[in-house]
Amino acid sequence: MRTMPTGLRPTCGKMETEPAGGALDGVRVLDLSHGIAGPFAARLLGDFGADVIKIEKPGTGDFARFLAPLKSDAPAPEQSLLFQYLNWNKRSVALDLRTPEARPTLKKLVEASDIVIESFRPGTLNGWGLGVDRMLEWNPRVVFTSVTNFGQTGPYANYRASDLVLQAMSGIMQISGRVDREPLKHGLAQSYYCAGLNAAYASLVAYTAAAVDGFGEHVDLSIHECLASELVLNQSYYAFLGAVQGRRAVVQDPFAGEPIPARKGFLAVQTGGGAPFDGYADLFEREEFRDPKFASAPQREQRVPEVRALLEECLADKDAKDLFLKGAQRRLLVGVVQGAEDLLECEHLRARDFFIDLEHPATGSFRFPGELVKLSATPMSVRRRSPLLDEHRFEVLVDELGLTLAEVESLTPVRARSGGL
Amino acid sequence: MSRKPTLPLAGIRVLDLSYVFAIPYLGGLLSDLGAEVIKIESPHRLDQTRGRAFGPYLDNDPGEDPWNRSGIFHVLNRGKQSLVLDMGQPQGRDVFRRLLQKSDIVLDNYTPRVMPKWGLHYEELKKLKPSLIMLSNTGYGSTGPWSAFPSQGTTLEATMGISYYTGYRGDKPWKVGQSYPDFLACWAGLSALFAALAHMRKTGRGQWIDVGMYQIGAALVAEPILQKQLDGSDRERIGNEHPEHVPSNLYRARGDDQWMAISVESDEQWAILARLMNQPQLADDERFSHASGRRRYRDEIDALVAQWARERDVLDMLGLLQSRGIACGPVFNARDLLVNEHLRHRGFYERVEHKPPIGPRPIIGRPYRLRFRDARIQKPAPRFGEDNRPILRDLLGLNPEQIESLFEAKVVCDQPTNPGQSGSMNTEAMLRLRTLAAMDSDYRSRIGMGADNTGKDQAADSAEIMPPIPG
Repeated sequence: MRTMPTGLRPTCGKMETEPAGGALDGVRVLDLSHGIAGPFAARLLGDFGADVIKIEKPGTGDFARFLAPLKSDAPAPEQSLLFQYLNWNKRSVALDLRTPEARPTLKKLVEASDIVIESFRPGTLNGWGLGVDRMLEWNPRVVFTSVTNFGQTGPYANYRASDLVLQAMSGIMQISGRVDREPLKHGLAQSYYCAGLNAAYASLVAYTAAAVDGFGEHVDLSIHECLASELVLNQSYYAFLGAVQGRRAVVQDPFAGEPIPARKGFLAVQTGGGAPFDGYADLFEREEFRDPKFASAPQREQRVPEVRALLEECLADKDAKDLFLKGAQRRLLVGVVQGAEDLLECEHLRARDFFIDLEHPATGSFRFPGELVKLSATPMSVRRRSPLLDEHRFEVLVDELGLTLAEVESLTPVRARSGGL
Repeated sequence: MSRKPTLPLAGIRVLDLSYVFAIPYLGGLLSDLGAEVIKIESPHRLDQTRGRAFGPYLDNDPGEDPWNRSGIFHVLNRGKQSLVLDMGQPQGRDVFRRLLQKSDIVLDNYTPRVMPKWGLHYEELKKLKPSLIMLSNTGYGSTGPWSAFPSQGTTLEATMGISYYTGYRGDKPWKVGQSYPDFLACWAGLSALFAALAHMRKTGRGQWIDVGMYQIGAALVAEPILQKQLDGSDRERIGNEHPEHVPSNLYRARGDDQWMAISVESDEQWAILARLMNQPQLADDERFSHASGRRRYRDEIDALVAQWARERDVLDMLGLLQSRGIACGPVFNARDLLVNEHLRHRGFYERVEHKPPIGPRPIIGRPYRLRFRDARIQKPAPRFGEDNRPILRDLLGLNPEQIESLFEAKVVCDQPTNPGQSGSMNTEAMLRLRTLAAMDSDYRSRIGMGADNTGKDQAADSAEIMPPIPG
């Protein structure tokens, strides 16, 4: 991933002297959202080259400014490293959308935007007189993307949710975990990242259409439905067969991808990749795996304890990463369970220029996951670190939108504006 | 400028060489958005989703042509045409090149060596079509020391960092969900593809998109990656709990395998929940009144909520707690979702009319609604080779003799040469192991997709019907 101008210290990403433009150069995005999903989507558009202006609540800003990990010796609301991750390539303006004084400014911002992303609870913006209809009245070509738990309509529209609740209600948890235990969720906050990926693409779906036909759009995205979209197998079990899928069996073939403990780490092994099963005999240097009685899943399922004991014995004196590398070179389907430290040290991610170092005045430099996907002509890029709260008020409102200094000063009392830096 | 809103991919033609989940799904979604998508299939190697590896076959019966009866194939490949083309033969690649000149986007998920081996890598293809956008999806991307490694969703989920942070408290890492990395690649690929399309429409220039699934997953575990650098600590596996909010967990409810997720995210909500549980004294208990105290007494709090939830119905709790602003919801299964009132209201599943024997089925649509544009599943997934002749005749303008010679040379085929084994799932064994929770012989009428098979299933018609979900 490219990192570019001054203020950034690219030690991992390659520095380009003549940076290529981004795919979305010239596209203007207004980010009214908060948390993870909406801001991640807006950031991805920024990574593709869009100019993103983030509107935040005066005083405290996006609540993600208070999400862990927090660098506690930095001044609030500039402590959150997660906020930094979700908001680079953006400029910040604090604007209290609840006040009538903010309206003319917001109108100018919307008029100058191609895409607006918001994540308020359904009806909130409308209650402030800033709903989608008003936005489309101000700018009939604008794409207005709403990112909410259950969408804008339907019986659940006003329901509250959490990452856990979304994973439960989407059906993912019903098939996760072991049948004799409770259903199990994906770790961390995966729902919101899934929604962010979808909101980015859905916004571009509407933007590319609007660029041709001149009509704006309301994209009404449901995080719940993003997760339910993963159940392509599970739903066809029912819709084609009447079968309700459950969780993983108590006793199952260890060659079905579950992490198996090694001396160091955990290895995941899976058959079916095209390499013959006796490749495992070579990998583990154990002739037993040439025995035809282990060759297929139905055969192994007949003698699971034996297979499992043998596999665990093979792994007991080996490191998972080492087996992963050797197995993959033999074209076996293997994975190694990796955590933060492993990923930070991964030779492959390093070779792909995946991580980027970003210097931030409040927290110092940290290393962040960077480029999602490589585009050959218009690479994704990080052109600026995440903004301090309201850092770009004058640059955006005065220099670019043409407000007078007096108008800007009257928008928000100075004392409520600053985050301490 | 047209007078009506249009779909973004109207007039765009896509050649889809991909297999299994991630990119076939991406291609299916492109057709929902107006593209004409031609799925190019190998006569020698069936897409695994047409076969036994994934299935399930319609009513668990492989029939005469199992490759046309797989449920998941119909979800992923809706809206496409099928051309069965042997790319291993020079003539097959020649057909491909001619198609390419009439197309805008190419999708593939071969390992990085395959397309170059055929002389069909992006640098070659763009000579034929400078505006071409090509998306190649691989486990690890086209460069780097692991680029040639074989991969697949399950093993990638471990390698990309997700499994490390997933699992029951105190237990080993877990793989959960179903091919999670495939969906991440699908969605990330879509955003890159639309960004590239916007660029192409402005400049006339195409480009190559190199998707490596591994690094997409690694980008979604940023919290522990940053935490590690901040203080050297690592996030532990905590099952369904939340590191800060208590109670936030899954609780067993009344009935067979019924579970309720409840997330209390403020002291105020805790006080509300305590009253709803008829234990107002808990709201005043100083040990529990603040988040830090509830974290300290996590086990006691969880036990109290578990005891309350145990004899209650999930839908009763859903209505009660949501009416008071507490985030909660049941663990829904496949059946619950397909009859779910909210998803029905949202039109999430689309009714797609397939030719017999499949008939009407609900197919997963898209997780967003557009107000002005009619994105929808355009047609059912194709039968194997269904569009061979129309594509050769109408798109390439070949005459009948040329078309027949392609069939004679087995460059284009109507049947798979090596369909592999097919068989039905052992549903009885799966029910015994509980990897299947239930089999509903009356599933068609339950999901409103026509009458159930008569005869063998008459008794099932009186089976219990799921109660509607309250608003």
